[in-house]
Amino acid sequence: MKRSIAVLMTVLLLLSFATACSAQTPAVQTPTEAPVEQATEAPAASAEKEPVTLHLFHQKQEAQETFAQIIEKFETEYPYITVEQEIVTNEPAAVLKARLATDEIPDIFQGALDTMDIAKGGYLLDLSGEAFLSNINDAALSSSSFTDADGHTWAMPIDGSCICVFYNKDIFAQYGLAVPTTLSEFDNVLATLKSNNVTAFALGFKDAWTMKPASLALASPAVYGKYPTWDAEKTAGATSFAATPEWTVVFEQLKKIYENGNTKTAFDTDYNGACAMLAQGEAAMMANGLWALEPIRSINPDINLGIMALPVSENPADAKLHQFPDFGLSISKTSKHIEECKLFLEFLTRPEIAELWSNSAKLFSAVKGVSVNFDPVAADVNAYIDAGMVCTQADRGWPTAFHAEYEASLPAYLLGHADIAATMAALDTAWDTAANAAK
Amino acid sequence: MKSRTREETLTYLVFLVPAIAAFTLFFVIPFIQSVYLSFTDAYGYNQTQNWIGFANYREALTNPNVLRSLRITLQYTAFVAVLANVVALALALLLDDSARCKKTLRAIFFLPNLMSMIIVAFVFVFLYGGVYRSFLTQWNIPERLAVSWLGNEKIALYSMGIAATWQCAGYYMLIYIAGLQSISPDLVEAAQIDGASSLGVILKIKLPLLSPVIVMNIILLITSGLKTFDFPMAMTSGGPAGATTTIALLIYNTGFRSNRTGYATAQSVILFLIVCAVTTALYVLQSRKEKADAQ
Repeated sequence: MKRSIAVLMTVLLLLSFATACSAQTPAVQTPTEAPVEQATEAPAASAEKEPVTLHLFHQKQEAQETFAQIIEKFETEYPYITVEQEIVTNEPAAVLKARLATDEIPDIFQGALDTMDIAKGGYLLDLSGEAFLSNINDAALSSSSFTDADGHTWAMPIDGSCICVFYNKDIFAQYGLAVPTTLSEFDNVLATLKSNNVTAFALGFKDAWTMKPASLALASPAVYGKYPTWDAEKTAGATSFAATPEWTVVFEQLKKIYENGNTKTAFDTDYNGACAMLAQGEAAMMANGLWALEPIRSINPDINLGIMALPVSENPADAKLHQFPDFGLSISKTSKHIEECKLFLEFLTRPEIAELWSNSAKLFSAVKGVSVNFDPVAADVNAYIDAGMVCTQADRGWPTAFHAEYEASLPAYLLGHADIAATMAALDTAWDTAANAAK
Repeated sequence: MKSRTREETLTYLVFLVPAIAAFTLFFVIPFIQSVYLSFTDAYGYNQTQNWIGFANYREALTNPNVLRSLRITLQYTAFVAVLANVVALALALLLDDSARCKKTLRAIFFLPNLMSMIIVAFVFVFLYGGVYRSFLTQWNIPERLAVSWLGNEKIALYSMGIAATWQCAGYYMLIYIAGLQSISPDLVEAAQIDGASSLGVILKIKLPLLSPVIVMNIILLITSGLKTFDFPMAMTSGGPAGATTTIALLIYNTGFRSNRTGYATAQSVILFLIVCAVTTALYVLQSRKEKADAQ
């Protein structure tokens, strides 16, 4: 008797297990399918257009409120469309990869650095030729993060950021220093600060990613300012890191920054710590992206801050600022509501919406004719833009697997594990392997 | 009689089916798929894969970064396996009876094990950073004497190992206490009557009788050490300069940051084989010793 009860219980357990498995089918239903169901249940609710829900996936936590405002305006204009935003800040690429693998693809999403890989996988809608793209600045649109060599546009840029050196104007004024535009002027600035016991650079290398922007502030003008097609040439085997002396300049200058910063505590200090050092006047400069403005200002709103480009040669014309399109959105090729997705992207390119976005994101707009003045430092960047002293290209065209290898090479070189020749050779091998893997 | 045996077998099978089904669905099938992936050029978002034979394995076994990560992982595992065992055994010997305060102390030492590894990691980042710095300032200790716990490549791995030991020692302490309590008090008493000192009792009676438990704890610590991911991910991101990049973290970075799924899977199969080999070796050693002791 007991045994038969036990067998019965086991069968029940098995059945519940099987039911749990079969219940997964509706659970993995994509958000895009939901409105179709709604529409069949209540066809009378929307006599003209069926209600549509768009799933927007991005990683920009700080833009949540702004997106909510924009979505509200959008939904007022298109009452039959609902946009649901999902923000994933922790490992967004891994989450997105899982969604793509399980066919839970968001309608509109931010592919970030993986955009080109996602496009190669066949998941993205080609936006080239869409009328709303004519509202976007050509330079931003043609950037290698959004448009590939064959002219396909896989994402629409919305704003632009820059990688630069933040500097404390008061400290510079105190020691009679001007913004350096040549390597010897830069050396002079470092020497003056050193002789006055001022830490030149705030370094937060405990967060290993902070080394990369510092190196890109150099690589963009030094390498890509001179050789805009360097990436393609490297992949084709026509050039190499070892054969491009400008890459050596990048690494040597980066070492100079490291040696003239809070060197002893650099790998103990995190990104926020470095921002605090600059904000509190404990260091004169910090190399990072425009996104660091917010944490610096939140610590010291009144700091007299400036933005400058790093010199990379004895020619002042080479000291260009690395400005690049930052946030971009793609449309899923398999979305059931492609037309509505396009309406949303078009909405984002309207000047009043672009202005709202840029002012809140504290970034420059990729939309034509929208100029914003979110902070006094914007004037410094605008001066570079007006003088044509910007270069837009750096790491966005690199093979995906190369990024990690490049990031690993920076501390290895700074800490003396590899000399410049070994570093360049390692980077050459890493690039070739990564480019080969991505084929 | 025969049909009864068959009926019994069937009953056992029915009972086993849920577990086998779950094990097959969540372990066997993914494992076979992973092994297959490791022989392909699977890459991030690409929907097709090509068979490339042992190329991924060749690359992994000749790549200096992979070899370095394996070395770092072994170093870390050895450090934690020794330190956590010594601490756990010492705590167990100190707290091996049922005095009320000792029960409370056991609970206190076990508590860190209930905390998430990520939380423990962040607590130690805070201790090694802010708290330690405040301590230096408070006692006017000069900067040149300061230790950079997580910023110094030579120390960071061991700083991480100390955090891991703090988290897991309580758990192994409980296993040791269970082992100690299974030792017959008669043996200890007889030794004491014969004039054995406390140290003598520990060294000559308790430790030899505990040896199966010691081996089990070592196996458990080694297998978890070889798979360490949370602490380097949360405490150092593998830095400085890759000094704390364990093989598990490297596999994660290769698969999810560099998108090289096939290559990352080959690295995980290698890790799987290493864990299997080490565990089997220890297990065989222990079995042989037990057999020798029995004879």
